[in-house]
Amino acid sequence: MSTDISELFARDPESLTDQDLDTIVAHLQTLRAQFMLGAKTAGTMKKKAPKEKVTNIDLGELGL
Amino acid sequence: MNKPEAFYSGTMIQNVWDSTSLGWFKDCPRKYFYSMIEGWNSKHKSHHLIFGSYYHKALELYDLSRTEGAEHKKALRETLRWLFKITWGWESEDTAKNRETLVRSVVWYLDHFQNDTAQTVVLSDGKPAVELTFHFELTKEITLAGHLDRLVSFLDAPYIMDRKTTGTTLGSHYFDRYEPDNQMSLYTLAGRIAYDTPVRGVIIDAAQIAVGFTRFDRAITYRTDDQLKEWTRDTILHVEQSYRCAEKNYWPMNDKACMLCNFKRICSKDPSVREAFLNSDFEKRRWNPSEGAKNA
Repeated sequence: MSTDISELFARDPESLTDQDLDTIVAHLQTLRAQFMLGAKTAGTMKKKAPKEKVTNIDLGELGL
Repeated sequence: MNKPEAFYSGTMIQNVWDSTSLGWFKDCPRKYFYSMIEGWNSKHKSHHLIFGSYYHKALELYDLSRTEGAEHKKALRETLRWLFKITWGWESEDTAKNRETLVRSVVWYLDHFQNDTAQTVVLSDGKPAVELTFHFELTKEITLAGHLDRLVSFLDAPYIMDRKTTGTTLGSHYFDRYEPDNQMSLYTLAGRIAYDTPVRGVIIDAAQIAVGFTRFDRAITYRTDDQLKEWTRDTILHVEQSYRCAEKNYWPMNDKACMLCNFKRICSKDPSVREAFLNSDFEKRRWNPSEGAKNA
């Protein structure tokens, strides 16, 4: 889901315009088309949390 | 429409029955006692019920808007505007059933069935046959009540349409559960008696809700005249059994039906401590068959 769509979902619904709603519908229809073409997770709405970067551990810092 | 109370005043004799309360008694008289007579419910409202309730209401709004003449795009906007407002602040921890997947499911459903051959019936009073409440007397003592999603015409024959949401994979294994089925038999009977329409059965529009997709499938469960007579005879007998339980104030446990029951952890305790566990884990919200919310 693009940032714009996430922002629209997070926005106060009272402020959503017709154009905002049309944007959401168009986006969801695109996801459905991708799903129909075989993308089994096309409709996933939540972004995955980025994995933390693994860094080397400096054993010296542990003071052992 | 009047909404009669479920019980004869001051008694445990239920006179207005819906598919939920009847189903509880058929499952297990003890489950019925805890759920219907005492009104015990889990303290945490299920996100499945919340999701199903919003899903039903959103599609009902869309159907109403279309039958009042709105074009698809306008009806869809109105539906989504309502859906975004009503779900504002709803924090579901479920990865498959939450606000985002709810909106996705409604949009995808309306895309999937945009050129549906099943059309909403218009009643004799000119109103669309959507979210219909029914009450009718089965006998002098027993009234049946409930809500129908839609009455539709499909291939020139009338049917009840019922929408379901599930996490289960759709296919014959899923739809088999509705043949036989208490709710579907009652809905068919209600269509024939309360709405005076020769409905053949129920069209089940099922939505499989997953994290990454919503998939739809449709099946029809038919009921013949003789099947409905049999269901009616059985129902009267079940209700009479409930009256006998009420007279004795004893509700036997059906210990062959505990596996998926919410009260399993209560019934598995010694009788002397069950009340304490009920007070700890449950809260009282009485179910009224005349007002029952749509479930999934």
